[in-house]
Amino acid sequence: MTDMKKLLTAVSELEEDTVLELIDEVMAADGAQAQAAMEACRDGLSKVGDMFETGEYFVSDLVYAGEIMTQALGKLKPALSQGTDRKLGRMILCTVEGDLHDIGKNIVKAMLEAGGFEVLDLGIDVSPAAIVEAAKKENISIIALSGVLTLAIASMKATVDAFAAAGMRDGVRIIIGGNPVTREACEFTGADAWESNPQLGVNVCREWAMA
Amino acid sequence: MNIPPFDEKELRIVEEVPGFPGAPPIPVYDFPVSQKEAYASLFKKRAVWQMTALEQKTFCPRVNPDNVARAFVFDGSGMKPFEGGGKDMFGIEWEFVPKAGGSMVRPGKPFLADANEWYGKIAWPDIDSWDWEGAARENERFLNSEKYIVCTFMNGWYERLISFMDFEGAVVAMIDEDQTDAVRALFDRLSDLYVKILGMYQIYFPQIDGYSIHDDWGSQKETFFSPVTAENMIVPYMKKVTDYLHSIGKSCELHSCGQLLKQIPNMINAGWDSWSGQMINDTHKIYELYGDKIIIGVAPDSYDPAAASEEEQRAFARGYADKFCDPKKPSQFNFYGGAALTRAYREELYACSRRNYSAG
Repeated sequence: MTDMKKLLTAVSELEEDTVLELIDEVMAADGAQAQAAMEACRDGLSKVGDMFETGEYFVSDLVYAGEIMTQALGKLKPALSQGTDRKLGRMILCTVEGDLHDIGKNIVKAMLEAGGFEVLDLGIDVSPAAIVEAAKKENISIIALSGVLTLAIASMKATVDAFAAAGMRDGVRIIIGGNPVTREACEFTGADAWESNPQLGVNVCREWAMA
Repeated sequence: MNIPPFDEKELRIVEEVPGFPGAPPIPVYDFPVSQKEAYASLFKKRAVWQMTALEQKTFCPRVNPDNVARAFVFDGSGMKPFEGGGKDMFGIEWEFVPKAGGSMVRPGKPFLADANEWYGKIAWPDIDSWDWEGAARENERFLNSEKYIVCTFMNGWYERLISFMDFEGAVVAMIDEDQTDAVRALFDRLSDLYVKILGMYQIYFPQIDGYSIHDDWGSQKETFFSPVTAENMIVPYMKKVTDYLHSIGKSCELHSCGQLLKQIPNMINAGWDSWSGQMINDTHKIYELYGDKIIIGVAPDSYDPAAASEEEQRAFARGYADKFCDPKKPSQFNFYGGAALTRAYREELYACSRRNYSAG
């Protein structure tokens, strides 16, 4: 039996080789512990988020954790039952118009997928119209907007306004995140929530999905 | 240089020069020494008056492909700044984003997926083939200035790594033990290249007084990587370049954006003479902690120039000068705090800083 505490610790301490060895161990035993391993990885990632919040970890550590997580998920996927892990449904994630940065988006994507979402990643520099269109076409109600530049705030507001103009505002929940995002920015844009800590952002999305 | 005592006659305005677009013109006083001399003296820790952006002239020549790619050309060619994009000196394609007023490499298809690939993939630029003679002729008039000529050098070390690997690849390579040796070797090789380029600048643009080398390390909230990472991975290679520049008598400023309080000791150990960080930094605290070891661009206390009376503006300037214009611990006025520099504030700052610095 694979030691899940050891796996959690390895994720939180960014020990890539140890994480992947333990995942290989799980899969070598027919993946019976795959779900438990997924939970251990999520908890480890949550700890990474906490350490980022307290300043022990930096962006480099967050990104590295995301990459380790993506590799771990890839290995566990075949053993995870259809539907039991994607129980939170689909959501949209993108970097808003005018901003080419994908760093924040990609960190959050790894965490959202680890958290149980199927993420429709629309990419970078995405116009409000494209986001609304995707939500409408795919029938997705949780939207996560990312931005690094200060100008992203205006694009986030434009996106929220676009949902309103399309008559879809009441049917979606919108969260914004990234370096320039603050409580004031959230109020200005009209988004439903904001977070600067990616793991806390995932938690908000999970609450919405399970409501 | 002996710092001449302040004379009220220096406040005579000899000319006015354009400020930033939209800003009022800047008065030029009857300085006791040239702007170039005063700036140079600051780097010898013998400040004459508080330097603002007035006394320096940015030079960023198009002969270096990086500057065109970064849409950051300031030279005698007539090429406008904030227009550009295209391939940098390594052939990496930069995209100018008009809304952002800058260029970046579009993420998604990094040139290097792993830092270890650089050995076989990077084509090192043939800088001897750049049109140096033409550039020297083109910039002779531009560089003939009474101001301190500061040459901006873009894409330092971490920024260069990002251009090769996208941000995520670069930031992971800085801490992934399977890649860190390769990254250090790359940074070492880059430093050798930069020394060679700077040597060419010395030959063809001898008018350059100092350098501002660009390497952003942080976001609004925090540095991208730990101080230990920066110490191990970047500082030794920066030191190679600052040692060279000091050996040829040039000053070195690090341009690095982000919340960087934790990285100041590394900046000092890397040999940088000065750093003028964004206003998200507590520059007062940084000056207090490190101002004796590196010249800090100190931000003014926040006030509303439109609402403050002239006497209030002067009081703010006096307060600033009394705290930060110490002859034993000189500073410079933070470039990003320019909105505070009303005519009254500027005049008071000049006079008070002259008195303070000449009393040392």
